[in-house]
Amino acid sequence: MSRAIVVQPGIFERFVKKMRATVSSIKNAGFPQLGIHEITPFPSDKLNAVDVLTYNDIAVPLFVFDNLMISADGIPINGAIRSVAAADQGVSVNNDVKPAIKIEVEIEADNIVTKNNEKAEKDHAMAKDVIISSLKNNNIIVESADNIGTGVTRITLDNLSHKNDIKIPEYVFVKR
Amino acid sequence: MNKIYVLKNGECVFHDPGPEMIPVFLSIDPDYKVISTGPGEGFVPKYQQLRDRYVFLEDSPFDYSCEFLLDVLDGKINTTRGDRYAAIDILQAVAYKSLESCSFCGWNCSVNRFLNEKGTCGLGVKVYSRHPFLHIAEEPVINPSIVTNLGGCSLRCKYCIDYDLWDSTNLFPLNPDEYWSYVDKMMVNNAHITSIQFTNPTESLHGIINLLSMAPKNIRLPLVMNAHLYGSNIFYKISSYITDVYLLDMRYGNDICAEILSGVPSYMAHAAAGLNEVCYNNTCRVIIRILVLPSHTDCCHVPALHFLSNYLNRIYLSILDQYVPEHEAFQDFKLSTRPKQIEIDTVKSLSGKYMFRDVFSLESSFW
Repeated sequence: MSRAIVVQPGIFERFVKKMRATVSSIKNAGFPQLGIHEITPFPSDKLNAVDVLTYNDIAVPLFVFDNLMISADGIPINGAIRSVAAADQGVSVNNDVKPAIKIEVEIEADNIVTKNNEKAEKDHAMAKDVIISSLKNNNIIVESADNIGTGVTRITLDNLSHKNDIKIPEYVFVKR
Repeated sequence: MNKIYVLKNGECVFHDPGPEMIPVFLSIDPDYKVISTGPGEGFVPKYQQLRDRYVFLEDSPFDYSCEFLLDVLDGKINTTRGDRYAAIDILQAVAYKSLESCSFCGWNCSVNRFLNEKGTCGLGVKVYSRHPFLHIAEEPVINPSIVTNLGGCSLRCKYCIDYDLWDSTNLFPLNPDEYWSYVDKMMVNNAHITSIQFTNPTESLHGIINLLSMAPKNIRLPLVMNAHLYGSNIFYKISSYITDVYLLDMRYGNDICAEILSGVPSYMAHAAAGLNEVCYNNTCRVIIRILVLPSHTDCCHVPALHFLSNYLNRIYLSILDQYVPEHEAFQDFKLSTRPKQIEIDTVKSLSGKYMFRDVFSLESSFW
């Protein structure tokens, strides 16, 4: 058994905060339909929450993850996705949001998440998506993401993504 | 690194993280650091010292008893005639001879592994492993570490996170040339590597010694043996000649929980015998890890800490809060969740009251 790194849940809250700001800014720029559906843009292949945080860019968000949709309040909506259409461009930098995207999302909202589990489920989904997105962004191949028990998702990485020629950057290394 | 666990509350556990994960960790926490406290420039690991020592034997080492050979290594018998052997080759002979009636672990199966008879661990004479990898989150005194997970195990822990290692058909035969080639590549890319480590070495000791007997002379990394505490005296005796740091898992505080959760009898007696051997019969550094299990504070961790207090001045303590339910843990109501923070805090607080040496806060005195 080797040591592992444990990341506490609160660390992901800032991602959500930033995501909500992103939604808000797009909405204010002329996309009221976003407000109707109140969907929080979660990271996709093209957009990484970390990048948003780091560079303050706003890219076109995709709203669908493994048929999981999440409202702006962070509550997962378990519903069938009827259609998703988004222009593949429409990037904005800083506060200059250009109305170059069109988003049509139609869902059958059927929220089955019980109130007691709402926050936990939200945090779980949030953490999972942020981690997977960040892995993809760093070219680490995700082999599978399985729910192995009540509230535990195991993300298995492809063995090939483990390379023994990767350096530990000097700036993260502390010799005592 | 091959597994990440995302828990219901959003907690994440990164199992066996390697350097490829550093960008991810920096994304989550810009202040993330890889911390290391190595042994310093002049350090010579035991296995290299053993390679530089020679003894003389008139016959093949395999013609002598293990006891005789160990006495020769200990200097109790002084031989001056015959062929010259590197001391590590003598140790290797002892390890291989022990396979004829294997008693490396507490099961004492006494099977002849040379004839490919298999005991509880499921291993014959061959040793299997995953490819070595660079672990960046071990205790600072051994971090970063080139870790090799060995196959086969005497324990069948319901919550084992590496249960795929039980089946050696998924693994590779441990090949010295390939191993040192991996190590060389990793060291070229990472000057700061602090140790080499084998997890689950008990059942595969002979293979490790074989590997070390072919270590390039320029390798000066301390050897860490990350073992369960269900080894036999002969395992600790043989491994003590090559081990710089024992990293031992103290899993339970009573025999009943050990039998139920890991399927092993008389756990405490074997743990005591093992600790007596490593703490009082040799000079190895000893780190004891306690993985905090949910709902096992009173029955296991509290008595385990009391038990370990007998070795207060010889051991360093490392408390792990990383438990996640895996494998068959979901079949056990108590094990099917993360430990509560209060359970982790209780174990840490009690270890403070006993005044154990925390391996994280006393790094400088370790080496």
